[in-house]
Amino acid sequence: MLIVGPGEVRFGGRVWARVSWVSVAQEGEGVVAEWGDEGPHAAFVDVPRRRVDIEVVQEVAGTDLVDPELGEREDLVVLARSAGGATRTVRVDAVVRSVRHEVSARGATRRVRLIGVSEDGSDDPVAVTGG
Amino acid sequence: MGGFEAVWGVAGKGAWMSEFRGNDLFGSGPHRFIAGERALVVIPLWVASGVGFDDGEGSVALGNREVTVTVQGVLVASSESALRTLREDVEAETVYGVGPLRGTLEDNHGREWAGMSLVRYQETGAVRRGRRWSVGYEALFRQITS
Repeated sequence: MLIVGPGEVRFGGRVWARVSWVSVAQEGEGVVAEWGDEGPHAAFVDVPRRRVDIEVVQEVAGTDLVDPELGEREDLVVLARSAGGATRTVRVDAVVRSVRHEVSARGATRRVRLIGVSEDGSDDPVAVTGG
Repeated sequence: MGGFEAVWGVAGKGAWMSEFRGNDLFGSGPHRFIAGERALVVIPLWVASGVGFDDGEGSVALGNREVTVTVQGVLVASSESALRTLREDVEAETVYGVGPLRGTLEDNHGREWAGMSLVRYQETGAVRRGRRWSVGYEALFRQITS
């Protein structure tokens, strides 16, 4: 899931301004692949362990002394405008994994990486509503 | 979803055709048969008859080793309760009554071993709860001769 130029991004009670894009990626961990004795190919494949990786890239206008804390857990809420004009809300229960800054001739950015959390391990940490 | 269901089906046997005592224990997922050692039990004559019986030449065969077959695979179900049923069906074959349950074990290609008993069923890890509920296992069958 990729949201370019989101309408608004909030992490807990704070608004993250000037966000360029937000990506929500899924990674399988502990993939199961089983073979029978009928032939060479895996006959059962499943991904019982999954990780949701979120990345938020934000333009930084100047000196910025307030970063999210590593390990901080909040709802990341992203308002995504579709081509048709409808707005959908992407909500992810997430923990901050890393905060980095990059500076180039084009300007400065802050890249926040988060990992999605499921309260009971079963519910998808990502919820998309509206639209 | 459709492709998976087409292979195994929700109920009944699918691509995997193995049986034990006429029951489809492992057909919910892929599994493999590994035939164990086939051997005679042979001991030297001097051991069988006592020290000094001869000059150490010769041996005597006492009989066959028990035939063993190992089945390795994964039980696959569409729910927690369905997986529990599959596991209990296999575990029930290890219950000792007046003796071990005996029957014919047939692999996925029609090879049969008569008079076999399921002597050990062991799961190889935790239940995996992904798209399906699944658990790996190893089942040891033995042709108990006495």
